[in-house]
Amino acid sequence: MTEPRRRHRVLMVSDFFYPNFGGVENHIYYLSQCLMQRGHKVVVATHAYGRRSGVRYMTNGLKVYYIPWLPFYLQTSFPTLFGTFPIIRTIILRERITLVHGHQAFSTLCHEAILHARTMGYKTVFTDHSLYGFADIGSIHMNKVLEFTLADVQQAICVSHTSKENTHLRSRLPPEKIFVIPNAVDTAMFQPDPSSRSQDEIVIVIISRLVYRKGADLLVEVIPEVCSLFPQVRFIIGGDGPKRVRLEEMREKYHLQDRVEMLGAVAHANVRSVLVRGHIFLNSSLTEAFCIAILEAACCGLLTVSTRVGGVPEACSST
Amino acid sequence: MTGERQSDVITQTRNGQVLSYVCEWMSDSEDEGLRTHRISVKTSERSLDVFMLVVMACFCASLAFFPSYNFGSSLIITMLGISLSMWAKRNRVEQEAVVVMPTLGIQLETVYCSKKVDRRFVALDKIVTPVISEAVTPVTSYFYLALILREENDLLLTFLHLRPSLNMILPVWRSIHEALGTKISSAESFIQKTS
Repeated sequence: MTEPRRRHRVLMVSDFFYPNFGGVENHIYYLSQCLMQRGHKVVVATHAYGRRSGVRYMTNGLKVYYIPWLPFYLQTSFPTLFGTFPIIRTIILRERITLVHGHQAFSTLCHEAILHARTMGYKTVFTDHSLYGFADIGSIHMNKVLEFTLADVQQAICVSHTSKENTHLRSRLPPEKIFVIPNAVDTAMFQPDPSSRSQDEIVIVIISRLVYRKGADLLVEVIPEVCSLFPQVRFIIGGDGPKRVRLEEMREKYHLQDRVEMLGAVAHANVRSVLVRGHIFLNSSLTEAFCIAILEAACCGLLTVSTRVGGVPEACSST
Repeated sequence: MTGERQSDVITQTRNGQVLSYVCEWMSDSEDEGLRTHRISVKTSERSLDVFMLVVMACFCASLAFFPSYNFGSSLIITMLGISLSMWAKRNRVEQEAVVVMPTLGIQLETVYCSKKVDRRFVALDKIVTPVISEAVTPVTSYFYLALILREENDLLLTFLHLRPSLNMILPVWRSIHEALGTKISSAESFIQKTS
């Protein structure tokens, strides 16, 4: 005889949510939708983005609180140890929350919310999405903060075994408390379409933010070599960022304007239409806890080639 | 012309203050005639003690900080303290009311502790609709009732000093909708679903 499932009222807290776009934001959104389908109630709290502050409702009645606290560095709120206590407490009491779920170690709002929720006696869960270092001064401080915050958390979730090891070493959380739940893609959104691939050339697709961390410099070295070795190969590069200038320079220097196509920023709704045009997906990131882009590409029927870093060997299984 | 009728009183206790909501109407039937939705605040007996405490503190501070005991200057400082606390008490709001007149309009009224009354009238054709929405400030979050006016960019806020709870604002919102003559059935079911 199964006992009736308990309904939770979950508060997801993170500095990173829509309209900012990325893996963490997608994860929070899809997780909230799946939890609501199972009957739980979910509320999301994040900081205000520009003029978007206050309460907004998303699909299926997902309530989002955009709290008007200043973001001060890379979209994270200004860290005041007790400053966010009044508003977090008000939200928790208003919505009758039973469980607080914080995302992303880099988010100060998440740390403060977990701290205040534990002060008030609520259960908390923490999910880590990225790998972090140990050596530089920013990482040392952040790891200490993480150790402090996670000392009392109920459970922690990491997206890969590499990430679990990383979180355990940084925060000294016992491994029994950390669960590994890999990320997933929505297969309804990413369906293959072999007819849109060209038959006579091989197309390599790259879609990522063009920043140092995603290996844009590697691309600048690799693309001219591949183009000179294999005349039937074409590249499609989607995405924008500070390194885009370097890629444009490379195109000019090696006269690859017809072999390398730069699309600029690609909206998430159009990613699938770009992916199905290719045969191979290339991911050159320097560090990755778990690469969802690889899964999306594999879901669309592309072969994936990636740098062997972080959690990538767990995401894409062969060599 | 019959006398006044009153609905049930809804109360809410918050930080030592007791807010009570009452709805009065003047005629026989509930559906016609003007209705007054009044929210009043009763601060507890502690506020009188706070006032006396401020006065005594000023007196003692003035005695302590002067090396030679000088009664005249300490009296001046005590007077300053008394006037400061009286000014703070005067600006506090005692009652806020919304009077709904079915074909004429809506009147917002604010009564201060010093018995000063602020009134503002809005004609019925200037109002597009009343809305209940949530405000999020850096320290708190609350429901508010506002009127959207034609040809004006700002919302006209009601009950902004007292900030009553949702179950006090809902009857006011409903009666403004009745005065405007618009239907509210679909919106109300959404409110019940998300609460």
